[in-house]
Amino acid sequence: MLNPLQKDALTELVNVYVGYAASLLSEMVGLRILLSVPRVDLIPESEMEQGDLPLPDIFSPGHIVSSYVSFGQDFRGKAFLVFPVQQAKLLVNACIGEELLLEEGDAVPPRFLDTDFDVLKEISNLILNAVIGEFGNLLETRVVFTVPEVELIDVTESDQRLFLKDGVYILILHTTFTVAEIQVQGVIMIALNLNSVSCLLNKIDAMLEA
Amino acid sequence: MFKLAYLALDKVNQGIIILDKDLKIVFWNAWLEQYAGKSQEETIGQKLPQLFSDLSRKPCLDAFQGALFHRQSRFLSGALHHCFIPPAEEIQKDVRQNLLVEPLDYNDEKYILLQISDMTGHYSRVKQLKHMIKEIDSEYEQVRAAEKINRFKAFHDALTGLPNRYLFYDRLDNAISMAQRNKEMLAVVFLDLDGFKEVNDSYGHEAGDYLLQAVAERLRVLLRESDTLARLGGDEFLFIFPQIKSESDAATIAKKILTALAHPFLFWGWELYLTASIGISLYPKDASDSRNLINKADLAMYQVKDSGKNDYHFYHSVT
Repeated sequence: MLNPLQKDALTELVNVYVGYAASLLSEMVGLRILLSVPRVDLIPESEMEQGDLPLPDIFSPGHIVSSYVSFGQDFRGKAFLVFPVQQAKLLVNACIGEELLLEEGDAVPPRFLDTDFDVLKEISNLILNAVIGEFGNLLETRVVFTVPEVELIDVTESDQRLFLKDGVYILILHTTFTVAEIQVQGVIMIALNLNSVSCLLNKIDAMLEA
Repeated sequence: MFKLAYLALDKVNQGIIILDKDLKIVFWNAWLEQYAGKSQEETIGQKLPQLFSDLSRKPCLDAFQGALFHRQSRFLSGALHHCFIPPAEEIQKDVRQNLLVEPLDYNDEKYILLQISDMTGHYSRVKQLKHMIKEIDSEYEQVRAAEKINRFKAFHDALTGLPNRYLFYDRLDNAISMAQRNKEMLAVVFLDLDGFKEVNDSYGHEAGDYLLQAVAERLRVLLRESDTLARLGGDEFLFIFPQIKSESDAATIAKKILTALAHPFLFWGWELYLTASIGISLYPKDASDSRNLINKADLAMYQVKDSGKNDYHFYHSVT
């Protein structure tokens, strides 16, 4: 879907955006937080039905925490920040300075309290706003956001992709958080309609030609 | 209708503030008047960040700028920011508030809507819940540790720490199954100390206990990882030696045991001498189940006792 040059350009742009979000997050929680997106994929939603896709490991069956925002006007879609439940708990605890020891192969998901969801809501709000806002700036278009909703989802094999059914294309940003020496893996997924994808690719092509 | 909406905002159970583009307060609802102890007269027209220092922190100012210039909505949690507008009555400690910042447009003018919810009670309940979970976790760990200790006690001899009769039978059954599967030979060695009763009678039970522990230590060092040494009770010990190649392997082990006990044991300056009588039965030659193997090793041991002690005998050689 993306040629190598477009992929490189998009990866570079996204890393700048999440870098900005990371500096805001660091100031907020008083810890050095690094965010990086080593890999970007853009795939048509129809292909996600067929399997054999560069989907991240976190889409294995089990509990995940997903927060999402809708955004609209010229650049439209829905953005998700998705974590395996243990990674989400690790991130929350690192941010509020609580210790969490995860046992290898622990089948019981960590306990999530309302206040943990609030922390995730704020983190995803900051990151998704930064990423989507910067896409809006890039496309020189106004973006209207909603405040994220956070959900704990038990994803089974069959309905892994159901919650993504909101766009035509899925932009997957494989994201690594480093909070106070703790590494947390998550994924930013942006479901975009055809028009938004075309605008984005045209803009990237124009940048590459320039 | 406008007046009705205004009245409704005054009735809601959370703080509602509307700011203009200069961050000056244009609306301050009744909930906030009571909560913060500041009337509308005191607040309308004032710059919010100057009135409340917590709202002049960078994350808040960033959120206001984001709402005004990028139409971004922002959620700031009490978990990370604690408090934005301090309550008038500072009775409560560790005040927690959530703040929602949203852009608002009216008559081509940009405004910001702030919604403040006091989450202090909620956080305090969460704190209690976390404390409770921690206590339950800690109790669970204690129960697990106690269970581990009890399980150990149930299958080990308290004096020497060696496996007891129950664990020995279990290990022997397993060893027999393994030997059967791999077509191997194993030896059961029954050891009874000679003259232990005399030591107990002459030097007291303390000396007897010390001797049993010291004997266990000396015997323990002779074992391979796959071998088992158990204390059956009194001065009786049992061994399992799996995967032995021949009868002479078992004889070698028996000689080593007798040699290990040949040196005197020192107790409060006294040199105590002990010997042992050892009976050996072999799987599959003498028996194919644990009970018979032990009985036959026991019989062989009594044969040693009868013929002068401090020696070893195989079961098949005494029958």
